Amino acid sequence: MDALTRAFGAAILIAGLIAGSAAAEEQGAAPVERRSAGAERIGLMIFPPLFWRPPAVGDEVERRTLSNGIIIYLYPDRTLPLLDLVGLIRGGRLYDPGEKAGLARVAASQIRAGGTTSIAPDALNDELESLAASLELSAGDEALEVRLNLLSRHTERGVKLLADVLLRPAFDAGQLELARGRLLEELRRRRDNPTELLHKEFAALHYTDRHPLGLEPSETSLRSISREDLIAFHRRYVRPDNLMLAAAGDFDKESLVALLEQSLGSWSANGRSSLPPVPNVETIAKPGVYLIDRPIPQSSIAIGHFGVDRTNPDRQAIELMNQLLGGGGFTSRITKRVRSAEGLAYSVGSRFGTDGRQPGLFQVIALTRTDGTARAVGAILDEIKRLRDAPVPATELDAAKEALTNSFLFWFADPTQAVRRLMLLEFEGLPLDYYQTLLERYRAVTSDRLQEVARRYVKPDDLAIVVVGDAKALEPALSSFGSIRKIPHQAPTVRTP
Amino acid sequence: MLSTLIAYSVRAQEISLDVREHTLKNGMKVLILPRKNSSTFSAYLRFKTGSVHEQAGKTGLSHMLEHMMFMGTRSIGTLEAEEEEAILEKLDQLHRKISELRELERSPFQPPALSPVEGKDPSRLTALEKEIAEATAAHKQLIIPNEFWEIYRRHGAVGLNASTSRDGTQYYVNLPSNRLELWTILESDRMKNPVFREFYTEREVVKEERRQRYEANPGGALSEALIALAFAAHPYRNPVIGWPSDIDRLLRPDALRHFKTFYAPNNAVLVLVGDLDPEQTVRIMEEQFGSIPPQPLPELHITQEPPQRGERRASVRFDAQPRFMIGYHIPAMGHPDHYALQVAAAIMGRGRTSRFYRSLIDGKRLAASIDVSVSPLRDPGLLTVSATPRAPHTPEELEKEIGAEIERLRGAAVTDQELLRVRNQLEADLVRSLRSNASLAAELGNAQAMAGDWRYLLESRKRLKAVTADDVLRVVKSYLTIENRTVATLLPTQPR
Repeated sequence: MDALTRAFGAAILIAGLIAGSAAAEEQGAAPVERRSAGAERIGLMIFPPLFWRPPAVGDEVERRTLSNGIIIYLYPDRTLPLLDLVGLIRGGRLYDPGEKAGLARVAASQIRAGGTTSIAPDALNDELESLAASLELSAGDEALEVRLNLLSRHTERGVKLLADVLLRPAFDAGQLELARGRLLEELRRRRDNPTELLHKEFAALHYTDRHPLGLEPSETSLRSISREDLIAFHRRYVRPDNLMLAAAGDFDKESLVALLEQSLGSWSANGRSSLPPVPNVETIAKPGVYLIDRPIPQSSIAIGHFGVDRTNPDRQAIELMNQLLGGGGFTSRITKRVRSAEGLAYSVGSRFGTDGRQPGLFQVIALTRTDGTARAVGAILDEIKRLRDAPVPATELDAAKEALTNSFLFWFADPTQAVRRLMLLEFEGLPLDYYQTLLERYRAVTSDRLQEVARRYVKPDDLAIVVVGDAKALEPALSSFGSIRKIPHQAPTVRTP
Repeated sequence: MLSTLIAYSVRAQEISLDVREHTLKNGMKVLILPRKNSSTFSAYLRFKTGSVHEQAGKTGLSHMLEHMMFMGTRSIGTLEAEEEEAILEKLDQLHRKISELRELERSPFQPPALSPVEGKDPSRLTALEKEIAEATAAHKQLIIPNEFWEIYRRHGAVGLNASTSRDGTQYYVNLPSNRLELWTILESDRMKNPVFREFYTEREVVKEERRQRYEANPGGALSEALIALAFAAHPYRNPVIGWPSDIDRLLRPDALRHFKTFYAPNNAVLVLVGDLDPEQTVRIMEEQFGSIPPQPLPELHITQEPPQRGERRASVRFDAQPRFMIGYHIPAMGHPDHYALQVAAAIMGRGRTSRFYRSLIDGKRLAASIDVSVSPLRDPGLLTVSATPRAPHTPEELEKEIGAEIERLRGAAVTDQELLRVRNQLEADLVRSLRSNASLAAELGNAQAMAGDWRYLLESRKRLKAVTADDVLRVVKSYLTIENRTVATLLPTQPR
């Protein structure tokens, strides 16, 4: 009986189960699953029904369009005097030209930091911070995200500033130089954080420099980004037919829509939005052992290969598989083994990219002491293989499904996060009722299906083992896992301006 | 029941906090804030003990105990509680012997009086390790690892975690609102009957945590050096996670003793925020937690830091780019000057309008980042400036310019605009902290534990908003002095 049946089945609250032990003793036959007496008793608890479904477009959440076509999702929630506006602008790292890696990131920051044609950067900062409002843009792989957060009594002024920033950025040259200098400093410091270095090198190894996802901004690319590039970027991407907005918080729908119409509704752009082509990912595996030398007492390990994209029909089964492997916290196999049983790591887990427009990455990550590295790698490889070789016990799969079912409402507990999720469905071309049926799709995955999926998408022969750590000590220890290639990583030599 | 449940509705600006306050008969403080915004609730259980309460040689014990609280209880996580206890005791003895042996080996002297058997005999260590491996293997037959986590997870728990700080230890989780009973059973069970199984494996996990946070992380290494130098006497000098040689020698009985001393219901604050019925919730709390006996808390003397009589400086060599931190001794949270120092810190370092940003990040472009923070500690703590210089500028150059900015602050009152901005931000911070059940529960619990009254959450904002330009000038002059500061600088090691 899974949690949902139980939850809806009865409305009786059984109290004080821990105190008595009769229930467990009466069970008699040995349980299929090893469980303590306490867990047995808790397993018999019946919870009052919880009537809940994800918020739906057309119900709690309304979808509208402004007269110029800007799509707006509205989710009023008047608990607190706060308003969030979140916008998605199609564009981002995927569209960066190779020689200008970092362009989307710089452009996103400069649309806001560079001031507007009517408000200088300093004055804009003064006004926003005096209102205790936050207005920021950032660039992801597929979208620039704009976020406005303020006390709702400042809504009118905040929306006006948002519109001004989106429509009329000035791209102040001094602010561009400031951002460039700080990014160059970030580049100089790239090695300092071993896990960040690991993630970047793992991505670069797989996507290569022939794909934007494999390219990190370099000194050359950062220096090549000009103010004209930012103006062209803005003209191409920031347009009403390429923008969606979601509002959550303290607002009256009609007044907010009127305000948005007034500030953004007459905005027009020539022709139709056209985005540059994005190169396909060459999903060529990179098996082997790769070492990045850092003389520190802890190794950062990533083991994995390519994942899938979000159109994959097996997406939910893959996600469940990853929950079992290392994505489900303390109860996943790799965490149980590498952390709890062997004491080899504090941070350990896995992720399997399934949500991108292009294939993501499958990675198991573990941070362990230098002399535990080989043992951790061995344990992880074992667990990866076991996913394919042995059927998943029904109890383990049921537990993962139960966890998903019972925690699903937290995906929507925060209204801003909830309405952003719904807007993202449209952005990604998924049906708007996606979440209404998602749990059913997870629940439909069987043990057999899970093993099929593991055999298809988990490929032990393709695994790249990438380690940031003390190369001198690691080289002999890791040689049994394959021939070692060193990824050169020298201390930064970024020129100074 | 109704009569003991006192409802307070306090309004600050447009904010109303409908907190129901109740003290269980054993002295455990319970705060309930019903909110209908989602069918969930957040629980925050805090014990008023942290690393300040550790004895010399046992640093890291409160944090280790926090990890052990997730290992289950006499009825959760085990198939045979009695048999298990015998193995756990055996493992304790073996590990104690290992510790003694290592202590012996630590000595550079090899006393001639010691025969090899008593002295440095590697075979003894090997034999002990073999015994440990055998006992551990036998133990694994009896336990269900991570079952406590598993139960929570199955029931939809999100954000299950805990944290240890210098003054407090807190356990938190979010659950669907129909799981209150389950939460109460699990939490009261671990307060009554915890079993610190797999202690010695978890000790290795904690050592990895230490490596990750401090030994492989330049920022962590630097802050550890700064704090250890700024505090010569007060136990705040010790890292919460503990010094490596102390962690290595912590034993399960240490954690049990710490637990029995400090995890008393009368030393705990429980906050529940979410879709809950207050009357029913109090009834359930009384049923499950009420039977835990209260106990007298130890009389503790915490060494207080004597005044600093001159600048202190440290350097740390690390395979990383340079950065530095400056720490100034400041009074404890709740002291009138603490509010003015928070305002001063915001004027110096918060946002793109702050003094440091305008002058040193944007203006002179000497720094990539400068953060200013004020420690929220029960005893006098530090105001800390953390800075990363932008090449080719050096830490010395940036430090000098930060010093000059602080001189400017000491020389003239801050502007009305600066004050107004900080006040507005503080008000917005309060509203934003109420957004999620989890952050609201944590704020209420922290205020209750630190100030003895959750209303301090609102009161502190009032005090902050009352800070004047004169107050800022006064505290900057009295605390941000060269004699009162400690500077720690991280510099790159030579490439090998």
